[in-house]
Amino acid sequence: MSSRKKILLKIIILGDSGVGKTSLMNQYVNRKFTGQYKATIGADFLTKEVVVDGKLITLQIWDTAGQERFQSLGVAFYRGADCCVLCFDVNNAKSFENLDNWRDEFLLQSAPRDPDNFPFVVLGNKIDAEDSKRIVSSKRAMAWCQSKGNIPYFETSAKEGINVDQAFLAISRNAMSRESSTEMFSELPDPIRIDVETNSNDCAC
Amino acid sequence: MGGGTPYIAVTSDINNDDSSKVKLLFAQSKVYFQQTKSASDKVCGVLVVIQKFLIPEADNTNAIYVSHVQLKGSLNHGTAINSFWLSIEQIRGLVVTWPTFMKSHGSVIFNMYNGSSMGPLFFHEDEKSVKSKDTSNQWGGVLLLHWLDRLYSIKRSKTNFNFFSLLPKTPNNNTVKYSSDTIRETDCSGSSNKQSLQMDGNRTTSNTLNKSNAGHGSHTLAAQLLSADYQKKSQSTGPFGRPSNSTQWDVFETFSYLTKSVKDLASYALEHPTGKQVTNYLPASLSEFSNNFYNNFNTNSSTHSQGNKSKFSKKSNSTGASIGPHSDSDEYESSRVYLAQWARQHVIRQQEELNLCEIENMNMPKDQNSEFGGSEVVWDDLIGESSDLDGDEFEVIDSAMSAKLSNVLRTKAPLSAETWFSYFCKDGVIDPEEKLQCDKQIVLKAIFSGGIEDDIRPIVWKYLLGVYPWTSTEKERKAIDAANEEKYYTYKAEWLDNVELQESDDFLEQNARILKDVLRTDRNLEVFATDEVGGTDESNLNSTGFPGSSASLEHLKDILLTFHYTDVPENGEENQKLGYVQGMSDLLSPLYVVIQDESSTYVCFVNFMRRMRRNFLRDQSGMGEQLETLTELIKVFNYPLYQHLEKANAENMFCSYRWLLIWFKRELEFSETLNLWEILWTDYLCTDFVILVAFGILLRHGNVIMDHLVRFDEILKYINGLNGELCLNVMIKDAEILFYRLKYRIEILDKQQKERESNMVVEGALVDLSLEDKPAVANVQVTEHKNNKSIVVSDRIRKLFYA
Ligand SMILES: Nc1nc2c(ncn2[C@@H]2O[C@H](COP(=O)(O)OP(=O)(O)OP(=O)(O)O)[C@@H](O)[C@H]2O)c(=O)[nH]1
Ligand SMILES: [Mg+2]
Repeated sequence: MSSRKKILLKIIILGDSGVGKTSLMNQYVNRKFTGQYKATIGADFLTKEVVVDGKLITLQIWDTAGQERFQSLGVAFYRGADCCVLCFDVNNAKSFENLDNWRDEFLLQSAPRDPDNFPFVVLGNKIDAEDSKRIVSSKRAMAWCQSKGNIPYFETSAKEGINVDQAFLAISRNAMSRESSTEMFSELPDPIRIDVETNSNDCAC
Repeated sequence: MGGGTPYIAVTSDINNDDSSKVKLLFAQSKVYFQQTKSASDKVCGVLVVIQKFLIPEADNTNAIYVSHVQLKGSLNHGTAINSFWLSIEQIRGLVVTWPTFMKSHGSVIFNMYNGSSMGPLFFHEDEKSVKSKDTSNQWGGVLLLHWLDRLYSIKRSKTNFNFFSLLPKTPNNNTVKYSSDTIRETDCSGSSNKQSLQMDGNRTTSNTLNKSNAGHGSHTLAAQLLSADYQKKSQSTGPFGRPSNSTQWDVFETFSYLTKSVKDLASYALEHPTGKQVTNYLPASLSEFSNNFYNNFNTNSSTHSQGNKSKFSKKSNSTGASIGPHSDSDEYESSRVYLAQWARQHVIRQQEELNLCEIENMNMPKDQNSEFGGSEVVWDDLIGESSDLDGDEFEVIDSAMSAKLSNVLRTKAPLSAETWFSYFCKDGVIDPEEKLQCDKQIVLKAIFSGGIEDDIRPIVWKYLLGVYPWTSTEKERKAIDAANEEKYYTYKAEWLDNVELQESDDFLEQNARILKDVLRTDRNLEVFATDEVGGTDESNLNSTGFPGSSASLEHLKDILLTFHYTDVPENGEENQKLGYVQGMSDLLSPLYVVIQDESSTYVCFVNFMRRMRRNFLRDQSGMGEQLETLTELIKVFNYPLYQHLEKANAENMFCSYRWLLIWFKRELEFSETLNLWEILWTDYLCTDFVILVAFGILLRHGNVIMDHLVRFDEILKYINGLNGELCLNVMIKDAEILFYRLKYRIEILDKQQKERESNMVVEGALVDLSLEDKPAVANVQVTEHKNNKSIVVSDRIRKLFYA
């Protein structure tokens, strides 16, 4: 029989409180930005179905709280992620400097099989703000991404919907790349367990 | 159930429909519908077969109803969603294109009597089922046919194998009946080996046969699907080319699956006084999801079959050990959440009924007030599940308890100004010093029983939060207010007038952090909405740092900053200075809305934070402790639910985190939050009453969770989706009743434990002889739920009831 896989990809969005994680997720999934979002407590997720490169996939996008006090909780949700999205606010230096921590914490807690090649995507959000407010330059952000193994970098605005689709397309592709590598493992045939097979006989007559 | 006009429907939002008169028969996720020629214009949704009850219990209607929950492909249309719905009676037949090896989906087109057609609807094949050779998983198109076959007579065209015509069955037999008999019958026949399963399948088929037109027995759907022609065709084309036997197996097995929820519904409908009105509780048992559910997720419930168990073990053998939420045997399935939310309507309606009862009783004259009204059974039901105790004993306890329970305090009318001032009266005259004249317990009891009316809330809250001592005189209270005001502005000046601090990086960071959250706190309330923008958009901030002009937002920020800089660690807290932590703005906002005055609000907040600070500790120990208590409660008092959560890796109760962190603020309406909090502040029954409230909600939804949700993420989604669906009066009354009952049960358990221990001493002595190095005590502490005999009540639980 064929072994096509139903593809559900788990995406985790991380970053300091207030960088716009919830806003980005809602902009991408629901096409809206409202000023009414509340600070995230605990965790929640949304799912979205998309066709990427001809494949139908379901994205399960996890939005966790950015406040560091809640990180110990967040880790419960990291496991099994296919891609991790690191967000910062281009108008806030601290949120950028913290990317290192978020990345390390994620790798530590989720313990992916191949940490060096685990797919990350970095989003510099709130680029709609006035130029004068901008603190983290594209150059600086890109340099960091490069130093971490060429992490793809996008500059977005959840408010204006700028680059959000493009970013999530890249996120999906990256997550899929990982999925296909796991498929290689899972496609190894299961050893035939004779005892089990005979117990649950499929044949009805 | 009589027949009515059937419909096929496709709509964007099932909740818009009058769902209270709708019964869900079948659901299938991942159904695609192409709106235009462009392949990118597909929308994805859930297809459901529903039965509409036009007049409850008398006339009902069958319908297929597709909910397009998501727009896929080109997203230019925003979230616009298209929908349609049709009566089944309009359908002449279906054109079915099966999936093939090359193509993972097949389609169904509905041909109408009027010559038009609808569709195609694309059904994606569940590939996992093919891979795992799990035969009970069928392609959605066939499941739909099976369902239609139960309602209508389906005939396959002899010339075009893809065409199935739809004919009404004989008038009296055109609805599926769910008598509890059929359910039990099928349930137990599905429970043994394949032999009886097959027999059951045969019987089901012959039932169908009897129901359809006489003489057309060979045209039952199952038979048609198995016809030689079909097999020949399907063997060359696709997944239906499984050995014929296994297809047959599928058909029969599908017919024989009826989930526990159906069974529950049936017994519920029969036993419960209002049960006859509960028409829409989910019976969708033949769906792919419930099949998956039973194959992949054996809950050890007694209603489950051996056959299923063996499948389960097969599955777990082939997938190996699973650790963590993601490695469950099954993937996240949004349809399960969807179905659970459907099933939840039953819980919600029940809550509404109970709430009405409460309100009615509240308005009744005091002495006639029979506390329970007609709802006693339902309240009792709440923890009926937890039969960890010996059956006989249990009954005794319960009847004894029922007597005790007639004294529940909830739900009374809220404390009124009149009553409140009467507490300050002696012989009908207000005490000249305006000192409370009664025991504070009387006040607390009144508040616990019904909350407080709006007009006296500000003053009563100050008592509840310890700003005013219960014994204070009016003069003293005035002095307290004045002192607090001075204190607050002194504290505030410490950061406000400190230029050095104001320029420090730390201050800027704290300020920004707090501002960011203040801007995201209850902005839908009038006091926090601002004239210019009704949102939190930071880029609209004016020079004061706030959008538009809002003194209220400014006050919130100042109070939180002052708290941040003046917070001192509590004794024994290992010097954990908290400072501002996210979530605190949620705790502050109701205080501000009620108290209004900035300095008084600050003092109230500081006092409130004294009891809430454990929720915000850096090491999360306080939250961990409470969640563990909740877990233990479930484990001791509803073991089946515990097992279920454990299997889903959800027993850490992280899904209740938000509930406990900010006391249901995000789940309730603002006014309800005020009500809940003042009740919790009374500590009338116990100090951690909020944990019992959480437990009560989980019990109310326990069956839905157990019936439908198998994964941690599904449960989280479901629980997060409960905001706006909780009923305050029911929540608190549930918790109150749980308090009495569980406390009583603990007494019984302790008594049993003591008896056992004294027996153990004898046994232990014997054991000691043979196994010298093992102390006898070890035996006592073993908790074995299987034998139902020794449930150990931990100190943590005990503390809940005897603090
Ligand atoms: N100008 C602008 N403001 C944004 C943008 N995205 C988010 N915001 C605002 O930034 C604030 C924080 O946004 P959230 O999406 O709630 O931030 P978050 O990362 O989810 O924060 P936590 O839940 O606390 O971790 C809100 O006031 C948003 O209105 C953006 O692209 N541009
Ligand atoms: Mg958020």
